[in-house]
Amino acid sequence: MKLICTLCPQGCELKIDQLDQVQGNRCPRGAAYALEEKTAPKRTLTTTLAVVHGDSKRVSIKSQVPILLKEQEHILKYIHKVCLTAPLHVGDLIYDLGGSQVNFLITSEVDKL
Amino acid sequence: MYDLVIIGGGPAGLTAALEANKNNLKTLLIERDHRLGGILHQCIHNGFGIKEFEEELTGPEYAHRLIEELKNTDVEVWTGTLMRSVRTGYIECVNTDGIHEIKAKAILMCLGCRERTAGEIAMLGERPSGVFMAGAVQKMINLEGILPGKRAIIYGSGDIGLIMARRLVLSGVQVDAVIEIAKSSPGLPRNIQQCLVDYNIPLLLHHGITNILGQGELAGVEVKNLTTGEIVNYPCDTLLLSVGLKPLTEHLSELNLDINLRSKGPVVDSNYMSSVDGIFFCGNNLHVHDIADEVSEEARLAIKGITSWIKNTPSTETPLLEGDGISLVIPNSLGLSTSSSVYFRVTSFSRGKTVLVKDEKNRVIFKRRYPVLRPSQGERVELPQFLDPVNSLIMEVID
Repeated sequence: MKLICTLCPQGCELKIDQLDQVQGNRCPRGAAYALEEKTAPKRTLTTTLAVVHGDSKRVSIKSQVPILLKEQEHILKYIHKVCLTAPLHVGDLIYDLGGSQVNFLITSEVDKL
Repeated sequence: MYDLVIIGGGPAGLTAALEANKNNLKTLLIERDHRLGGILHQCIHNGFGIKEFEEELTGPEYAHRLIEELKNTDVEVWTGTLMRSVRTGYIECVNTDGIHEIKAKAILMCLGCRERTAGEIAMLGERPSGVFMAGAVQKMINLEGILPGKRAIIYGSGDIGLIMARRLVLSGVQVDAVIEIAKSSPGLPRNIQQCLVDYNIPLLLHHGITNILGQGELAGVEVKNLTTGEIVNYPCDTLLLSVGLKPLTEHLSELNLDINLRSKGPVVDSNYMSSVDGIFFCGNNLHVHDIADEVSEEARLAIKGITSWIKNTPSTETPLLEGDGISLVIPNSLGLSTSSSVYFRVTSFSRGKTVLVKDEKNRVIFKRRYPVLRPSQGERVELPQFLDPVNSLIMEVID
């Protein structure tokens, strides 16, 4: 299996064979990445949510840890219904956002209006 | 009287302001928006900060780090302030307090870049609603919470086009194809993987949009396969244009800058000074970078140049030219007897080729072999000091 490493902008061209031997990686993280991509690819999920009483209409968020790629769509259905209340600060952690069972971190500042 | 006035509070302006403070320059930072951070606020995806902070941040987090750091400095910040006019040593700007005339030894332009428009690619067909610039839709979705439509086609596979393809899909918009006129994508390989391959979005290379269909509202686009000549109509209510970025220099026409036809930004010397005395450039206002971290890196180099220029350190400039296989070098000349950091881009994809810099007598001052070189990925090299005076230097790619 051939893939492009997405861990950093270098974009190493990786090859992983049936014995899970990895080639083409310029750092050790690439080898672990290739193995994970072969079995269960994960991504950090980022989006924005509506905010009330804030100086911005939306706040940006990211999943606390990378989540399974195939579960992204399902999780977004839960969280896009959520509306948060200002103030919100970078690094604030929201547990089980919208009942999605995923924790999200606030990534932008929204002050109270 | 300021030592330095920086125009623009995005990644370039913020990093420059921090570095200027470290160099004890009396600095004013001017930003037209009500908050600092620039385009980073709408770039909610991650991948920022890997070089600068050695961790993966989103755009707003990258901005936040720099803004927080700036609070602990002596840099003066004016947000909600628009530059009206500029010339050597002088800036006129306007905000809710009125018009301000500011004097500064040096002025650093960090205006960033803009998207190329439908007009610039001579787009044919109707002009219905539903045709958007990709960056405008990024702002609509991420900052306003507005979706542009239900079914989209993206024209251009630069990084913004790729990132917006994923963003639309995750927002519930169907994306039928990303259409790219070139035979390879100008986007970063990682974005092809994580924005298109991950979501099974087709990338049609060497295809062009030959007609926009629809009266009043967009009904579809006519797509031509440039290899076979075959034409297919794609129904859609949304077309995103992501057909390249261009340094923002239109605002500066009064300066009559010498423009580098390769980068479409100003020509700069080893101190990052343009053809106008005391007016400096860095970041995407100088040339369009691949990632924000490289913008920050260049901003520090510009401040090094400005600090040296303010101290009146003499600099003998030797032109650095683009030779075979090199499409762009920044800066466009180097100072004698100082080591120099040079950014370059290649014209074509290659494996195992060597990049060298030589003088007019064919003396090689720098040589490095690259496993892979891609036109979509700019590279930075540190050149050693060259003590003999030379007339010119040339960078080229050899086997």
